[in-house]
Amino acid sequence: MAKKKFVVGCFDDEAVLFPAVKKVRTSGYKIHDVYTPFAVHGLDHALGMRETSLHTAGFIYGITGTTTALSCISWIFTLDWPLNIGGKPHFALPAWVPIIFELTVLFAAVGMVLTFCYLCQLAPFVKKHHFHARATDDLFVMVIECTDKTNVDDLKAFLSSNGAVETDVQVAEEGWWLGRYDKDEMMFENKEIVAA
Amino acid sequence: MNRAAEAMTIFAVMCAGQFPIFHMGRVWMAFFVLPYPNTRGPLWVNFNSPLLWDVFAISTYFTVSLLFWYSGLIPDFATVRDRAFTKLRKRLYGIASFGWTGSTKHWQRHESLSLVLAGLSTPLVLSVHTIVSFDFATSVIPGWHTTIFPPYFVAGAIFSGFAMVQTLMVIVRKVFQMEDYVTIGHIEAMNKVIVLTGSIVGVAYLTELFMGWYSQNKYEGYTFWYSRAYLFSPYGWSYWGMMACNVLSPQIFWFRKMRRNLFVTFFMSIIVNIGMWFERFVIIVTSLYRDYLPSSWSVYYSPTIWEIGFYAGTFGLFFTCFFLFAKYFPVIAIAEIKYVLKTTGEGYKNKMGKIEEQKLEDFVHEQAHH
Repeated sequence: MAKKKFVVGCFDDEAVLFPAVKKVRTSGYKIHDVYTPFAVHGLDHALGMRETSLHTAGFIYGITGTTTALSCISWIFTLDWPLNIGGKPHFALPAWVPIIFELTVLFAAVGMVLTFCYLCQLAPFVKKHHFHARATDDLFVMVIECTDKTNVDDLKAFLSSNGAVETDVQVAEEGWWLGRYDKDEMMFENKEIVAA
Repeated sequence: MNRAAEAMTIFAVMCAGQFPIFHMGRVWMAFFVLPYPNTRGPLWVNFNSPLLWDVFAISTYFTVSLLFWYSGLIPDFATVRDRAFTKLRKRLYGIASFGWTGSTKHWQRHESLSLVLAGLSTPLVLSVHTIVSFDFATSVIPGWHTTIFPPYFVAGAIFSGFAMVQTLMVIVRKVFQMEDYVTIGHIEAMNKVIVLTGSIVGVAYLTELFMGWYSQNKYEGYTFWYSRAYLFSPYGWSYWGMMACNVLSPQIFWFRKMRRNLFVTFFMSIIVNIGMWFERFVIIVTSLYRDYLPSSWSVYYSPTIWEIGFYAGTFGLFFTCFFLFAKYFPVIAIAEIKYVLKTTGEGYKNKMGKIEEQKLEDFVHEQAHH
């Protein structure tokens, strides 16, 4: 994948971050992402993201589990191998409720976690570009994608005036690759020197 | 606290899951309990049997708990990875954190995932203990054949689970100096749950005794009123040991001072663990050592060296896993704590003065923009 140029602004407080996000967006810049150490409630809406549909996917996986359990057990006990258990009905629905419930939960949980990992592109041995080492610690890192027209210095100054404690320009890979975190390049080694 | 409790759940389920497998005798054929297209017909497992429900319940419970636990760990592993100083740690935590960056969209999905998994785990806890109790309750053995078993087992599970968490967390809290995160307030709240569930279990014991008499069933009466409640029957001591540990002694937690005392908490948590061991002993041994035929009554049950070995082995497995967890994993949910401190911590509260002085209209005006 191609590398892109990003302007990075770091904030140390949500109270500063929210107005900054709003200003950057109304000024017409495209925010690539905001990396935060914990789930900041309302930030997704402030960035104009839609609600996730993960729970809907979970529901669909759940009913898939219900259907699988019900259809398999009823096929096995009424058609494939009908067992006479004390003359009781072959189609013993109440006795199947526990297994149907368990499979519903199992399918929903496993399906949702796999979907989550797929959507977020998370897996062991996966490596991504980290714009700031403290993004998982105590900084809120706003990353703005540059276009041909972006004046980098203006943007950096704009971010600083909106409360960014640290600003920076990075050329980075957007996607993921297989890599090891111990062979880490220094976080700011690939910084591009922009002529003033 | 929740992180460590989830870890304990998983390790305990690992231990618990071994026992049915050992009891199959031929452990290498344990996979026979799974419904798979086999070469014997195919011959299917009995989906109407509580023992098979248990296979599904325990395996589902284990899988879902593991997923819930690990998905919560991913962002915290990323934090540890980015704060690590040695290459080995960076590499290993890098693998464990799945390349987590902290992107807003990822957090949004993560929140949704955690919420749904928590919602799924709650009925799962109820179902797994209910189904375990069905293993007993659907049998015809006096003392097991009772309809009160499902709620009784669920209450007992919460009771003993909280006690075990107390036992370990009181120590972990001290060793890791986490007094600021696991507060006396948390411990007090857990002690309240212990006294509540202990009393529920107590009500269940009394209900069983009542039904032993009210049913006017000779065998039930014999089991409950002779084998269990009569102190001088061969196993009367175990029944009254259970009563003392599980029902009477937790009542000390009605007193606020006792709930907030770490030594009392630790001591009581051990007592409760012993009490819950007594409960299992009472349920199993007192119902089985004398059955319908006096000729097959055993004089006294004594565990074989293998039984003791299996039991000691579960302690080994549990504590090995728990110590490894405590050593290498974030014991408390870091990201959650950060959020909580940000919104309710002392640092946050101290900054509230300015907002408190605001006029109502100004406050509403300002907040409306978020």
